[in-house]
Amino acid sequence: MEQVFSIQHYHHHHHQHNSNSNSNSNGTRIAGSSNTTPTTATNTAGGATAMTPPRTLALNRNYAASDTSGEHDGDTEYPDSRYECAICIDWLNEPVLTSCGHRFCKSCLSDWLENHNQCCPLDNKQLSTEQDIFPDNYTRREIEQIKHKCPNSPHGCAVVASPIELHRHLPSCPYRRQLQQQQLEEKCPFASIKCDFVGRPETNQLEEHIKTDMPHHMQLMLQAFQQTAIATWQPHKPSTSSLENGHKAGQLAPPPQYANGVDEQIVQSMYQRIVVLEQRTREQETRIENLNKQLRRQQPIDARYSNGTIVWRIEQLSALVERLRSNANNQVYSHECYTSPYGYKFCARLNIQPRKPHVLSLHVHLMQSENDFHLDWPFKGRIKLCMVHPGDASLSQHDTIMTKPEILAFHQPREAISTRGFGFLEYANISNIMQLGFCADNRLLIKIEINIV
Amino acid sequence: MANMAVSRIKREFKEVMRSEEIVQCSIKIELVNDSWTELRGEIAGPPDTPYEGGKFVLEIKVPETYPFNPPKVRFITRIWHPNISSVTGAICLDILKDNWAAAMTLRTVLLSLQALLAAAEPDDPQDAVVAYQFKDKHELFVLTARHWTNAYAGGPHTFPDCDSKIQRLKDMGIDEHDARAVLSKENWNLEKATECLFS
Repeated sequence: MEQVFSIQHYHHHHHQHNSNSNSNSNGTRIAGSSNTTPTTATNTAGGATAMTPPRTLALNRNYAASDTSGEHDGDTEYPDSRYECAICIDWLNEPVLTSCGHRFCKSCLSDWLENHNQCCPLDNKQLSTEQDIFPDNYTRREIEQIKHKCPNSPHGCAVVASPIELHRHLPSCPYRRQLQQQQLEEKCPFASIKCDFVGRPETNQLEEHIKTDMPHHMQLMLQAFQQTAIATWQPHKPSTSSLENGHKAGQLAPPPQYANGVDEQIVQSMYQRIVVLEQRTREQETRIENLNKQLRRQQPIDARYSNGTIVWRIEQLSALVERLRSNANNQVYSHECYTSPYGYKFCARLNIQPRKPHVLSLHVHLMQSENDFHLDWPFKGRIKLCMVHPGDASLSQHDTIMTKPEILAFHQPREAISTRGFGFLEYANISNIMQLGFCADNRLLIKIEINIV
Repeated sequence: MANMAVSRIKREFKEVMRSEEIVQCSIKIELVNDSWTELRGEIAGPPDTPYEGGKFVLEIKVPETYPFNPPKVRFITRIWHPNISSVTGAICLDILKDNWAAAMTLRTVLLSLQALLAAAEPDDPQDAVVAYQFKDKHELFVLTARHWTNAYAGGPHTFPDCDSKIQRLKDMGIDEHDARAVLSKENWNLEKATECLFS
């Protein structure tokens, strides 16, 4: 969730307060209200209710969309009619209001008026660009406060934003391709009971299929129901009556006796229970998957538990050397480390001095952290630097630095990364690094251990 | 701009798919190509008109500038109607020309065409011959329109008299459709039709 908020803030600074306080509660409230005032799409969708079976299964996107339930907050496709531009039939982007009381996107309306005789596309009233069109900031704000999940959220995208922002986000959403691939095919809502029909979403093949293949679906339903009935039944009739009646243990228990109303009820409630549990499992699986993805993304957290050790893999060394040589201001920083979870925070820096282009400089820098206020200053400790030889450990270059209180680099940092560092102006000769084989696969490994003494 | 055309057509397509009318089978729409620029529509002939019982297929071409300009619509199914060319299928309907508004959709266009079938405007004709017949010999017009609906759109009413006249011309080596067109134009007068064909 935190990540979600940060993205919102990023997008509109001026509405930080709104989005902060409302994004969660408001998003659901507005989505809920669209339930009571159905969109035009919903009105016309009344026909879909005639086909009841898919609705009860409610698995297919098309049918799910037709009841525009508020919980479908990933469904940004269908704006409430008061938020819809009649020209692009989409969410109002920079809405304007005409003197005849109609809302359009600013760009849609101006394109329309440019091309045509200055008339409202809805009621043909004359419109003058100067006098009859006003920005509708009220509606703009209302739309901005609607928050939808990215339609790719089932694939792990955590972005939650207003429909307009989502439009901008979608083309660059990293989870986009998966969705597109899926959309090429549209599965039958009866797929879960082994109907293998697949249609293309832009055609009405699926609708046709649902209408015409009803007997097939009924058969599948019956099979599925019998299977679930048997599966749920077995443990309940362990051995008493069936064994007495001469049934062998290996045989399937007889299907439920429907003459007995109680039996049927039990089977049905069990079946419903299974559906609920399966659904929950599926939801939790996706949650775990999403959390895993988030974890992988938030690696910097590990810095807290690095015990003061930086293992710095420097890839593409020769390119890096080129870059550092080209400008004395170019430098490269390692990832950070903490001496302990509540300890000092450090990072390391490499650069090349213009006067000595053949030598790498390596410095260690204190970094500001949330622990600074309770730590003792200046930092006292031992810093071990090791340039690791990938082939032969005995060739690795070891250096140890002890801190001294008068060195400013170990005083409490005043900037995110202390401007003063401590280390070696001439740490290693670049040609030596290459010749002695420190740099296998163009990769250099520097290990830095920082300990308090 | 083309982007807006495509995204709007996609939305409209869904709108039609979900509409009441599709359930009643009175309008239909399908894609012709993957670029969403060409579609095929179908409307059912409205009840209590000569077109009742027929299914009329339409060619719909969506311009790059859609929805700022109207879609180009034409009947593929041949039809006998004052505002529709019996030769090319071109339609004379104000909303497909100057009176187009960006708020109109594929669904409203199809419904308007259905309404046009129910209420012809012979004073603003596309096909002058048909319009003349509509105004001057209305009963013949109804018969002809019904016959065309039967011949091209699967309508239920057959007209043995018309069929035998067409057969006569066919026996003279005339193509069936040409025979029907000429006979329709000549108010089913076989002699005049023959004269017209062979002079």
